[in-house]
Parts: sequence; structure tokens; C-alpha cells
Amino acid sequence: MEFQKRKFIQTLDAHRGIIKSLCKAYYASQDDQKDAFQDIVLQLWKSFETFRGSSEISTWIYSVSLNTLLSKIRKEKRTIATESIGAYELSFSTAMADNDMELLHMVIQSLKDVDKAIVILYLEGYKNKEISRILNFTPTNISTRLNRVRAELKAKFKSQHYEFKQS
Amino acid sequence: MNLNSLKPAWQQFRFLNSMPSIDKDEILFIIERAEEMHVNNTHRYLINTLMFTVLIISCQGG
Repeated sequence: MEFQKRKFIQTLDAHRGIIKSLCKAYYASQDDQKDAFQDIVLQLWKSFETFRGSSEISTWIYSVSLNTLLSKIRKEKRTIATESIGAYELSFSTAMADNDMELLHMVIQSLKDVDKAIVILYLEGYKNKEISRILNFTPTNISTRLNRVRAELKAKFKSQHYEFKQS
Repeated sequence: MNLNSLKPAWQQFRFLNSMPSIDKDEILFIIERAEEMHVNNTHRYLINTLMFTVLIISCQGG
């Protein structure tokens, strides 16, 4: 058991950037980010023993983390009107060093929860088929949502400084 | 510019968030507390089942 825990901590430490980035992308306040981080760690630990290495560790971490976050947000929405991410500045302050980072901030802030997960996975380089597996959607659904997001972003950022081309 | 042009920004953001190393004690606290809660829940469930059984047996009319 101690060996498993050590192995788990090492795995987590090697991929801490993913988990912390996801918490920051979904929650604005530090307390909420900490809560989300704890929930993700717990879910990862619960499924760590059953992880057989059929996918990359980073894919498994993305899958568990994003599904934990989406289900946490759904639960929060059911119980109380939660603090909307839109009402806050995302915690990109330290990262907002250049225009691309600022644009990333604005894009992520403007997306709905599921679309945000899809775009994050897309930015991470996953193909539609892989995204569909990670988030339990059909590949067609992912493709449709991505196209819709691109169109929305194009329209949204057209009036601003940024020109958003559909690719 | 398209969605692909944000890929380096995401990588940079991810990298910046990996800067402080994970606190091992914090992780151990999270997983051990969950294990403790699991043990407590099982214990409570067993006690409740036992009490319920005793109650059902004693309250049977005759």
C-alpha cells in the first residue's frame, strides 16, 4: 500500500500542471480550486489501482479530472446557484504575459463547461475520436460542438481586436 | 489566427501551473482521510445493521 501511495504521488507530481490548470480553468477562487483539486486527487486515487495502462497516463489524468470537474459542477448547479466563472477573473494573472495568453484566458472564460473541456483537450492535441472517448461523447457530437465553438468564437472576437478564423 | 494558435499558450499555462511541486503531505492527507472515512462508514453500517436486526427480532409480536 505504501508503495502504491508513493507511486501515486510520483505520478501526480509529474502531471501536476494538468490538474492545476484544469482547476484554474473551471474555478476562479482559490478555495474552489483547492476543493476541486482535492476531489480530483481522490477520484484519481480511487481509480489508480484499476488503471491498467491501456492509455497514456496523461490521458487518464485528463479523463478522470475533467469528468470529476464536470460532475462536480453539475452537482453544484443542482444544489445552489454557484459562483459563475464568468463573474470572476480567471486565475491567469501570473500567466497573462502576452497576447496569446490573454486570448486563451478570454476564450476559456467565454466557454460553457463541456465546450471548455473539449477545447482544452483539443489544445492539448487530442483528436476528436480521443476527446469523445475521454468525455464519453460520440465523435460526431465532439465535431459538431467544436465547429459550433469555432463559429461562436469567430463571432465573439470579431468585434474585438482579435480575428478568429475557423480552421 | 485560429484555435490551433492557442496551443502554445495552453502549453505555457500548463507549464506555469506545474511550477510549485506538489505537497506530498497534502496528497497523503486527502487519500488517508478518504480511507478513514470509508472504514468509519463501513463500521457505522455494520452497527446500524446489527441494531436494526436486534430491533426487528425484539419487536416481533407473539
